[in-house]
Amino acid sequence: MGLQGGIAAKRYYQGYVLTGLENVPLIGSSLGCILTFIYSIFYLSTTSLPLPILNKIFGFSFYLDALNSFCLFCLFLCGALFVSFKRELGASHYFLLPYVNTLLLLLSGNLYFLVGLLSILMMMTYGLSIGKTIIPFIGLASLLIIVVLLPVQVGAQGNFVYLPFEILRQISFPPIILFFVLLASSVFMGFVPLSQWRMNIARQGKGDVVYNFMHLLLSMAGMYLLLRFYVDLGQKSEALWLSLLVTMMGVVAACYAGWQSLVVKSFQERISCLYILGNAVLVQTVGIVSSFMVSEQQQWISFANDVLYFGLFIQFIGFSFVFLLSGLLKAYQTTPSEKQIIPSSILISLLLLSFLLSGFPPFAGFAILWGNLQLLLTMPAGHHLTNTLLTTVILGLNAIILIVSILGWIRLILTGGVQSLQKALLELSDYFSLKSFAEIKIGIALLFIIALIPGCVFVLARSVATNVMGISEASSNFFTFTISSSHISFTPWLIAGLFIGIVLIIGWVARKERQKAPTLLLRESNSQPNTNRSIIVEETSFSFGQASFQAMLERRFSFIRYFSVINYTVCKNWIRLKKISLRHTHHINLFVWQYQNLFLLMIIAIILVSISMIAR
Amino acid sequence: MFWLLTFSVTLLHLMMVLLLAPWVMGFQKWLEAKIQGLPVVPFWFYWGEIYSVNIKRLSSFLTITYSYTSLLPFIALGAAIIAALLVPSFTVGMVTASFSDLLLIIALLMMIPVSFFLVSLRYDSLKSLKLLQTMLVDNLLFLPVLFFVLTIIRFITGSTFLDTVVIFFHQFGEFPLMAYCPLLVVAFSLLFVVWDMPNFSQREGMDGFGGADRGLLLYTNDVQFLVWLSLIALFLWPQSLVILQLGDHYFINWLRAVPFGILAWVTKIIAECFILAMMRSLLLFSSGIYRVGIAVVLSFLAIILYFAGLSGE
Repeated sequence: MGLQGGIAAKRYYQGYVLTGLENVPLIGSSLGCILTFIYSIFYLSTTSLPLPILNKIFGFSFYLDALNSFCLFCLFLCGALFVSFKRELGASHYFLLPYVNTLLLLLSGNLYFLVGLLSILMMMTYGLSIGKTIIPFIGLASLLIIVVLLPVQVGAQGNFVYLPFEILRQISFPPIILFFVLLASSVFMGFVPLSQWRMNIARQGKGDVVYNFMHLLLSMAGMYLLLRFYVDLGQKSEALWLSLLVTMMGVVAACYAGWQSLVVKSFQERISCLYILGNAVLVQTVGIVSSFMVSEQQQWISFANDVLYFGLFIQFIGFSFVFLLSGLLKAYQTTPSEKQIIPSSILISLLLLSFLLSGFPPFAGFAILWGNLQLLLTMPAGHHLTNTLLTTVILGLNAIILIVSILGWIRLILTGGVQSLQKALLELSDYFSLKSFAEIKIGIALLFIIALIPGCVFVLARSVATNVMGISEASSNFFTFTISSSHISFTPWLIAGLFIGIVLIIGWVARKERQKAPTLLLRESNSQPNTNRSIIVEETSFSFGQASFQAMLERRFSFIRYFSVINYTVCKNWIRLKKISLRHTHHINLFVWQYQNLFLLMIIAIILVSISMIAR
Repeated sequence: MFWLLTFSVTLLHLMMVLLLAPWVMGFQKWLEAKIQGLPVVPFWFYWGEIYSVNIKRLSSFLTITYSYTSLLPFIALGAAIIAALLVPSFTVGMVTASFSDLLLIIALLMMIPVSFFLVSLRYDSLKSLKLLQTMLVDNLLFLPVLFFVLTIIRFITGSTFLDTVVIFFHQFGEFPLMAYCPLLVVAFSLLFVVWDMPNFSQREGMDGFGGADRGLLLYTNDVQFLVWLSLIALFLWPQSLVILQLGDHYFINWLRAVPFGILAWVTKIIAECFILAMMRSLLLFSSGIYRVGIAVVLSFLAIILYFAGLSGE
């Protein structure tokens, strides 16, 4: 690639946004975004496009339904983000190649085209990584097995057929095919070799943004493969244990990735680990969805779908912001002379994104976790002991996932050092006022709004439920996750509103009281005259502190003093009583001291007996 | 009109919890010190003690400049207050009943140590950072226990909402033993979660702890402690809570039962303080990980007990 030439050309070339050849990817991505958005919103019908000559020779054919268009929307959005920040990140055009590859992959209409593009993507990653591992070949082998075994299932043995999705939809897959699909997609998402794959991406790339983008594309492809074969095409297959396998795969991979995120040292590696963790949680949701499809509980399937696509959207878009920010941080570290990037605002953006993506209550990470747990708790229908114990184990592992994800995110934002984070937090007021970084700030704000009003994503996701899954009964509430039959609901925006309201009320009261509170100024310096004392007081007592808080409490709860009169009379009599009983106290004390072990045993025995009495 | 009633009841409940929180913490400490034979301030002085000690030292922190980060302790307090709103104390059927999902309550209560940890980033002292980090990890390790508790509640009552627990146990005249036993075990496993909370303010001697927000942090800790105790009290004896429903007949019954509900709540809190003080003085689990292990075993035992009960029917 003519990197040097590109840099030289950039120096002298200043084109307009629409006419410049350089901006074609950006314009194409945004246009694709809009088109897929329109396709999803208006519930357009499924389209397949076999190319006239190329289809016969090479098997190129295209296919578009709601699942495709949802994934394409996410892909276009991520691509547009990366392309628009290409110059700041110092990336070449090279990363457009896997992008286009993934684009075609999501649009491909038959099995051979799909598998061919997948293997190209895999070999591309293999070529990029320096340490050669055997793992891509496991993925390739499983893809090959799928290609060989599926025509047997159709009945066209030895015949070279392309198997478009219309034909694939009519057959039920044997479990072995679904197993190899799971294997291939886990290789793509980085679950199978667990450590090596991630290390390849993170260490060899050394945080280069191309590798991050590659990671994003690979996991998107893997997720698409899993969704296509398990949720869409695998509806007829009766292998329930495979969906349990998917769930277990997701949970175990999430635990391992979370543990690794605590172990590894570099910033980029931590981000990759946390990304794998988020993907694994969503794979768990895919497993749950496919297990619900067997039991055919319509309402729960639509609820699970809502949670799944909400999670997918937030995961992909949120992490493309995280990867972008990490790339910008690296760009700043390598060239600190550039003034346009402020590291403290990068750190604060990362902090906000960590609030969004880890499991904090009203936000997206918690919403996904909440949905997963509700679905898991519904799964053991009929009180089968083994089923329920398995679900209980998965629940416990989910708790561990929550622990490691919160700790991992905290470690991630502390990677830059406590000192720098403290500095960043002190500059927090500049974050909202400065105009730099406006795109990312607006994007993060939009993500927060979407996280609080999940209906925004469901506009896209509901077409998947109706077109692909064939669910007629899609939940129509825009503001909540809800299942009307079981009275289970979670309203993020209301909780956030309550939260903000309470914080504002407390803050307002504290501020009011601070103005009334007696000021305690220790540092009255002798050099300064005391003329503008009030101004000094205003400035110095400008934080919500201990003294002001105590003064506020004293004011608010001053009626407690009225009790002091009652308290006095009570205490007077109590002291009299004590004086009387004090004559015998030392006897009792001596007695207790002599038989203290006996006393303790007796107290324990009394507690146990009383518990057993209550329990009976 | 009914809405206004539920709203006022919610307000009463919230005021009760917020006012009594420091006293309950003080009572707990007083009791523990009495058992261990240590000198202690009487618990009715605790309110004054906690907010008036060391003003001279703390006022030197007031020179910290204003920024958005001073909202962080208020976020912790907000989480504690919302959790207090969601956990019913003496009656169910408050305004916030539709939110009182146990999972949400757990998440809100787990948010408090995280925001404490973020608060500590405001100060230069690394000691307080270390302390709050330890507290954060100690709290997060109890999450499996809490999820097991969630599972048990879901198995028994078919929902994760706290109101349904109370209504479920009201529908039986007698104690349904096989449903009640796992609940009792769960309540005891939750006592291990609150084990370390009274220690929070005993570390005040540490360098730079809490800084200017110290009073606020201590108060938040007290509220959090009382909310946990209320939650355990609900599991200990769910029938003692009163149900507020629409209708004149129900209202009269509710009015009759409210004093009993409040009395039962106070009694349960005192009993829990006593049990906790005994546990803290007598059980020698100094390391946190043992406590986590015992709590996990207990909560898993509750699940097994539940299934044993199913087979016995």
